[in-house]
Amino acid sequence: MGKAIVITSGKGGVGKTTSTANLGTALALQGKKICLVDMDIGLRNLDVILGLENRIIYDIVDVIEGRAKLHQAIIKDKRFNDQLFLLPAAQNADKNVINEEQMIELVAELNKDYDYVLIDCPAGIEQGFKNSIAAADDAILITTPEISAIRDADRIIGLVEQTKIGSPKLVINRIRKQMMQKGEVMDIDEITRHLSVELLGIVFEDDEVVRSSNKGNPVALDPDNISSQGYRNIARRILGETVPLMTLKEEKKSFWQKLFNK
Amino acid sequence: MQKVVTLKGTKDGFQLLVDQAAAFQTVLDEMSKLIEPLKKEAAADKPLELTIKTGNKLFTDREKSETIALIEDKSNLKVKNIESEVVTIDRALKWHNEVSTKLQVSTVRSGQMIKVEGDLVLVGSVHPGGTVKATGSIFILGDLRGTAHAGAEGKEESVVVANFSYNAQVRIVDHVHVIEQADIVASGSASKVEVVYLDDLHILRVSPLSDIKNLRPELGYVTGGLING
Repeated sequence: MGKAIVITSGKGGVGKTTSTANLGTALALQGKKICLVDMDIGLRNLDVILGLENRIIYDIVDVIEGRAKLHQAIIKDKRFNDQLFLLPAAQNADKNVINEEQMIELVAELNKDYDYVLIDCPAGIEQGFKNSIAAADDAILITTPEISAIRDADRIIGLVEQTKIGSPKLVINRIRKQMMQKGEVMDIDEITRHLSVELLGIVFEDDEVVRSSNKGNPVALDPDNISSQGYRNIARRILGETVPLMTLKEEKKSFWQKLFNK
Repeated sequence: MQKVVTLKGTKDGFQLLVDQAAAFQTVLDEMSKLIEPLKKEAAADKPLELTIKTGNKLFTDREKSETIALIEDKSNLKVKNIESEVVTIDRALKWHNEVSTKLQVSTVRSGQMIKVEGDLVLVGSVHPGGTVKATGSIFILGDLRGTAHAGAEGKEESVVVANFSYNAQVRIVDHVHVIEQADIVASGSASKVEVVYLDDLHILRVSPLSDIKNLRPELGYVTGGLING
């Protein structure tokens, strides 16, 4: 029996879809069987980032409305040996065609066959968000060091805490080392303390993320990339390993070490 | 036969004591007889005030208005109050709710609202976009970065006690005070716990916490109690 994890943020553009693709990839590299579910119906992107756009035949709305079987709609990522799969969103429908009950039923079906089901939540807190949350066992909250993203994250924590999921786990994405070192943005410690949720990991901003996404190759496939390492560390923590937090700078290690060990 | 209504003169004026076991109609009949001489006595320029005490009996609103009508009709008598030794459970609960202090242990996040009757003690922080609201005073053991609204239903003596080191908004009744800190970059320390209150000119003021006992000496005591009648 697998586990469904929703990846959400509230605000758009903080990297939910990129993170879903990369965490899926990183978990698959760890030998797990993963299904990614794109819930951004009407504005699907996850297929593009994974480079699977041209293979879509049926989508999630087809499955829910009975036009296709689940296994017909799910696309296999050929880069992996039966480990990474995608259930794409519909592009010609809107988020209200699915309700929470249908979503719970669908994810329960997926949980039977996969180790992890990662649900890519759309931005906002409307029906698409509610659907994504309804079926999840756990939540990963993506934010960036920007105050607007943090504000929305706070709102999302409040909403998620009211459900059976409880407190979401935090991922701080798109960290620009230099800005954080200069104190121009809130640092990791401050953000975590302010939101008062558990920190799952940090991902540094890197041009390669955009470059590889544009080619349809999630950056997590590259073992040497700094963003990729962030995602790989998060994947290992999801699997229960203890992995130290990446550092902004070597000499600052003791400080971050302290943060991680608390 | 035992009288069901007794007329008593005290230094505070006349009192009508009603036997709690008597039927309402009997009470009315006897009352009208009793006040007959009083009606004549009371002059137009100096109305006589009466207090009615009903003991362990509770008059309904209809009974009260009938009694008042009987006494004040074509006379210079005036009913000052109808007092009882007892209250309904509903009213007692309502009163208890209004004067009791509510303890809430939670973080109030953006978009969330905690609303209580009476005073609120919040153990936790109010994040930006979050709101705490109380009909009485608000005491926050945590950071206030959102909105705190005390005296939400018009209780002007209400105060807000919190750490005012951050951008926040305080409301008392319908007065709003915006707290702005130029250097909001969290310093972490230097707690600035202060009290915000409404002064005699209806202006929101911020004072050091040590002043609170002078400003609101009644704070912390249940004063006034439940007035019957």
